[in-house]
Amino acid sequence: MPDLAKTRHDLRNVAGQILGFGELLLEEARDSRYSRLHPQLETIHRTAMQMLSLVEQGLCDSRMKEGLADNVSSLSNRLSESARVIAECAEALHTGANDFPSESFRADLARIVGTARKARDLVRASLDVETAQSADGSVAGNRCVPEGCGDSCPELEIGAGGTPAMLSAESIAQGTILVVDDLEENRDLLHRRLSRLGYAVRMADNGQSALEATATQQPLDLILLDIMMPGLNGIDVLHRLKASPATQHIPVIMLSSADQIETVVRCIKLGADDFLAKPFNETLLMARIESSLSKKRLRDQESAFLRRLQIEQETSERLLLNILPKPIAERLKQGEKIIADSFADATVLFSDFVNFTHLSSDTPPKELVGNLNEIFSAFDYLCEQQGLEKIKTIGDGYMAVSGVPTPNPDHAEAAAKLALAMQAETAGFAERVKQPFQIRIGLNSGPVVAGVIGARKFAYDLWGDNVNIAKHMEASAPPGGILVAQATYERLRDRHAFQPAQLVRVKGGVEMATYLLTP
Amino acid sequence: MAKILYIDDTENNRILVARRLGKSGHNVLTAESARQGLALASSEKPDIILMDMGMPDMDGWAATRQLKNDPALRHIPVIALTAHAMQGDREKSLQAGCDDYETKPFDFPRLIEKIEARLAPPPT
Repeated sequence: MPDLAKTRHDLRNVAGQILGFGELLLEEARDSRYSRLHPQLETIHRTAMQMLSLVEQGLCDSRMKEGLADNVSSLSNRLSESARVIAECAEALHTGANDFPSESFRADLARIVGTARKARDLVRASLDVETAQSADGSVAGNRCVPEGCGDSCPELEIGAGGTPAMLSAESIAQGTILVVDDLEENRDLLHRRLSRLGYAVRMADNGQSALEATATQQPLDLILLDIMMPGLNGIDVLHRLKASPATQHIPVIMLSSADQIETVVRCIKLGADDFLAKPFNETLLMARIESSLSKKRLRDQESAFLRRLQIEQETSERLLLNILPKPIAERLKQGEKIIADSFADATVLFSDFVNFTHLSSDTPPKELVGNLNEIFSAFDYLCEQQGLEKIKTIGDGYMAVSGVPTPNPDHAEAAAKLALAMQAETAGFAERVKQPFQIRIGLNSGPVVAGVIGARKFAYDLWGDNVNIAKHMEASAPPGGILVAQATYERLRDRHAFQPAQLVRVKGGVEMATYLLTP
Repeated sequence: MAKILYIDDTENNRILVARRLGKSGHNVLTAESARQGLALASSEKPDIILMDMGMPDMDGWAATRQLKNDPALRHIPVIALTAHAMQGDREKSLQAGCDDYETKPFDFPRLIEKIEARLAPPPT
């Protein structure tokens, strides 16, 4: 048994390289002058993505543990087929055109060819247990044929591939197919062929029962739909399938007679994936079925991935809103890198526990943190009630701001109400736990700067002299008291009772008048 | 514009990364082995190093440890690049001293974002 982890690693690398070069070339050829290069470049790109997802899905850890027995040959076929398609498209471009967008263009195409061949060799050496002997390296059956590679990739045309006998020997097909045809012979024929290949087959003999089958039975991976039927014909059925969100994702291949080409075009415009002319060419039938199924698998994968992504996104959004104010989180998401806003007028609140160090030496740490958590949670709630923004806790200190980030003309009043409520809350709490909990609170008002800085563990924070003064007010407040600076006092003097307090010396030696806010 | 050193033994990857990062305006130096990379790191003093982890001879983990033990080089951020995407690789890279971690195949917009975040001047 080859080392599958290594194979996965190596294949992932080469597929990634092809994808990388494919993306570069697509970008370089974006100009409409090179539009004729687009289909093949897109095929290369898409097939490389397909390869990568085959490697990631097919060789994932859980399958490796299961020994992968049933999947090896299917996977190996699809991978070598992808590699072959990529090599041929790149080679056709390399030899077929001379006016490339850049000098390196041709060299990159050659790199893609080389890397795709390397991928095919890797697959053959480590996965290709059954077809290893195939002399020319072409792989029988189960071809997933990309569209868009057109006539310049002659070998991509179907028909030279395997015989029905070889196809049935593979027994690799997966998926449930609904066959809709009013003629019993046609249904039987398709049923026999498809079941022999390992598909689960369901049947409907008219349009109405086809629609019922999509509504009631377990999920379908593909519908083969006859156009000419009495009652609801194939076009009506297609119309309804594509109109319903529950069924529009199921690929549909139309079954038509050779002379119905206009109808077929109409069907494809309506959303059919492909068509098949009767009488069926077996190889063509299988190729188109497998192609539709693999496209659907990719789409299913993609939507599962999108769903996961959405869940992740919601989670991270919730986390973000826990640490940043909503308007700030929105701006960061919009791509703003540095947020620093001046606010002409705001009120800053600081609080601190009295003698906390002393208290904490007497209390078991768990109980202490429990107490802090309880009281800070209560403060958080009060903050929200008064419309203040909590900035942070610093040890046993608590910092909040009023009028930031959403300006509020009555910021001082809201901060005063919060301060009074915090004192009342703390007094109640101290009584409940029979511990001498007390806090000091300081308030100051004026212009501040608010913003987000740092690359990790970043936070919304405040700067400015007025912030420092608020901190000084808190430090100078008596236990259980609320000390406010002149600026805050002036905004509140008509609405609250104050007592003049001592002068407080702030940074730079300036002495400031202060006032005690009383309930 | 930053000077970026990219160390990878795979030629295709060196070409791809040099082209991509070159397009976003950076000056990219490449090295095809850890030893060559270490020598270039000393002589060129790049702003950031992108390091493939799975290289023959000396692997990226060993090279990162060596970089981070050199007082003249340890300040250069190292982003580990690995195709393994296995659980534990991230921890192993961070333990070796790598500053960040990206998986191959490259998601270039994300890689460039990471590089630029590392190069941004530290907040004052």
